Amino acid sequence: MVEHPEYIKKIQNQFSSCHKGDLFALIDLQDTILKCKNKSSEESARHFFSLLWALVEITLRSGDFDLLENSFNKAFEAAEKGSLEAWSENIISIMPSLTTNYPSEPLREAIPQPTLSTHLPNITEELLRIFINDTEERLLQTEALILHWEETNDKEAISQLFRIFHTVKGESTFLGFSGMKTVSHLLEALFEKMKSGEIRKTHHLTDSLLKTADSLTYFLKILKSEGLSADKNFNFPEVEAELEILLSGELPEESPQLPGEKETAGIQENKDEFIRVRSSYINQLNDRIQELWIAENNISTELIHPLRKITREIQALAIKLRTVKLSRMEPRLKRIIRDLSQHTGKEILFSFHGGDIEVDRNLVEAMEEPLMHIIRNSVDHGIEPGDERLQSGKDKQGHISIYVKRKGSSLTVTAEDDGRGIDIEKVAQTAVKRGIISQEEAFTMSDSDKIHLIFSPGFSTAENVTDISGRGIGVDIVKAMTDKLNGKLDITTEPGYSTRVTISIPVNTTILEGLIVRICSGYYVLPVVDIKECLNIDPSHIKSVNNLKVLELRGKILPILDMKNVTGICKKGPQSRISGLVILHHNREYILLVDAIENKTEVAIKPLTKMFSKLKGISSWTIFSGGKIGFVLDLYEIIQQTERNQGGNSE
Amino acid sequence: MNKVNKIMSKYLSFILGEEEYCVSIDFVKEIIVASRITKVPKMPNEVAGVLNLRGKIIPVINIKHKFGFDNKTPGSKSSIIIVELEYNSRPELFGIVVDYTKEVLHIPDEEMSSIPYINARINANYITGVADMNGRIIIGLDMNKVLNEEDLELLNTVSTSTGIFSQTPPAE
Repeated sequence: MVEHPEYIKKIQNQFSSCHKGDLFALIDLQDTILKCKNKSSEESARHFFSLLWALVEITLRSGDFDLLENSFNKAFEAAEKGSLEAWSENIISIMPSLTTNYPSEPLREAIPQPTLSTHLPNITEELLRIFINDTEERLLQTEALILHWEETNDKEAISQLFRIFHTVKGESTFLGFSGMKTVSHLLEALFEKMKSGEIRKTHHLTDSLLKTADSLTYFLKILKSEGLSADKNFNFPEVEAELEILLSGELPEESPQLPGEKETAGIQENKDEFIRVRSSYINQLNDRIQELWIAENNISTELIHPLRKITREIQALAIKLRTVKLSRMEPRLKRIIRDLSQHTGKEILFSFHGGDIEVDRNLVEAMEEPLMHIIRNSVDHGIEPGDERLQSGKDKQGHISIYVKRKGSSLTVTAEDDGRGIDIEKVAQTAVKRGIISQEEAFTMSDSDKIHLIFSPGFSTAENVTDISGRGIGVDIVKAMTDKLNGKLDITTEPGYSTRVTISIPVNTTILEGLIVRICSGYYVLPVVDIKECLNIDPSHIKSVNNLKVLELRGKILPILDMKNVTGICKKGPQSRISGLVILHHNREYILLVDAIENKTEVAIKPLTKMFSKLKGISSWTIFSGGKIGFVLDLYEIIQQTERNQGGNSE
Repeated sequence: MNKVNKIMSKYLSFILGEEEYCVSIDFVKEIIVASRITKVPKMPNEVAGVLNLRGKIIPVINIKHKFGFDNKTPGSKSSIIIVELEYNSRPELFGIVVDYTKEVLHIPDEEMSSIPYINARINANYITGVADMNGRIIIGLDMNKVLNEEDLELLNTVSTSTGIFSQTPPAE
């Protein structure tokens, strides 16, 4: 029972259809060879297949396809002649020379490792994408772990780092990224020595480790943009050299870093595992749940309550699927502070509050860059050098804090430093010089308006931006990013004491706590968070000042926004009593006139279809119980629109 | 335009004013009664509003207005034909207000491909053909052209100017 010739034929066929350079085809081939080997009963054939497997393995590592082709053709010839043994012996004799370049791998035994054959064939792009995602995640973790170790000397961090780079090494070997493999291998060795105490903690060591992580991150960026066409053998000669030096123990003269030997509670290892999910599936799930929710609203009996509670919980979970914790960006920011602090010689204490808040993953990524610029500004220009701080009676260490808060449907991120603040007059004078405002305007402007001048286009693009009390660099980037997220940017300063930059970003929530109002026969929704008070108004109390309708409320004159004008949907005669809502927008109060206030309820909001996307004053829509459609009002837009129209409005 | 290669194709016929029109059944998703249209503020009359189709919000186009028939809002007999079109290279649902739907017809393709001279009140581009079914004149509409992206985009832009609406909504 000699079945192997058939197998060899199969392998030969598969091999001839392999494209040169197609690693995944080779992995497939390897799989086939392994299967053939396991099915063969004859020892010589099994040996033969093992050697074929090893040859493919060598090629996978070396990328030398010509050699493989050569050896395989010889093997097939030998098989035809029936001289498997002779070929096997021959190949074994030359095997050492084939593997010399890869001494660290125990290839010489030529014994197939069945574990290596568990892979998914023919999804090369997909595999690469998964690798990039995974490795990005790991490098992020690496940064956090290195910083954690620097701070606390926690040995567990090193063990985790070791494990991370063990995995990275394995995966990059599998995909043939030789440079990355070498670096991970060196890191592995280094972490081992760090763990055993052979290598001690120094600033230099942490720096090198962080730089290594940076280089690998850079490589991932290349992979991301170039995809499968990227250079697999991209290597990191400087990083490798540096790591070799560290490994050899020839450390540059430096006193070992004062260990903060405060074995803290250790790292909170996240036991919650992450899985990768296609985001369109999550969106579909959310859509279905919303439909369920709406369907439920149409049934109104006592019995529905438990069902409704469950639906709401499912919905909350489904929304959560897209979210990550904000603390995800903390290591990056810490890292920036650490580097800047070393660079400038300023000592800085950094704190991050609100890391437990969960928001959409994309939002976290989008917020990272503006925050990095804000921090850079704070360190470069806000925080004073240590002795200057002491002279002005402050702590030697500067403080930078980031507070994240969730307020209704928006997220506010505040970055605060206790530096020297911004010289408002200097900002104003620069704005005059740049022609952004006139000298007279500079006299009449309020301080808060003046400080916002730094966001005006043309302010920071000019040369010598650093002159302006330090601020300027990157502010335009922060502004642009905030605009992109539909956010609002605010800055306040207390000269000599602090600067505070706040970004408020609307969070894409699908459930809104809304107040339903009626305007003529249409129903509209207002976010409850924006409403301060509901009033009953006698129309005769509405006064007109400069063509602007106003109402006096407890001594304050508030401008009126008549929603009938804004929505333009009907013209009805005056009513005897109308309802008003006091809304707060940018610290100003307005009164919104509506025909009736219906009720307060939670609504599931849906984005407008493309056809209505330019509709001003309406941000989204919703379906009420009973199936009626309501429009969610965009107060910001309505106020702007009304203020624009005020000039020519004669009514 | 004669890309149809069947002998007979199915059409849904409907009435606008005094005239009979039809659209290829391929576009038609369903037919519903026109009672639940919600007006959208600041949209021109061509947009009848939006309706809730089992949880989906769908724009409804008043093609009678678009074709310049009259200014009347949909009456009690009015129907809405839900059609599916490629819009921004994604399938999108639209509602079309018609006076009433009549029937599903089999019309020979050669009938539909001929466009005789008619004193068309509507843009000739919108018409795929005019069938003469034993004296019954039926005008075939090309839904992709009637609801073309440029026109819809234009509606969207019109809506950004100040209020135009002065009507009370039909429903409620």
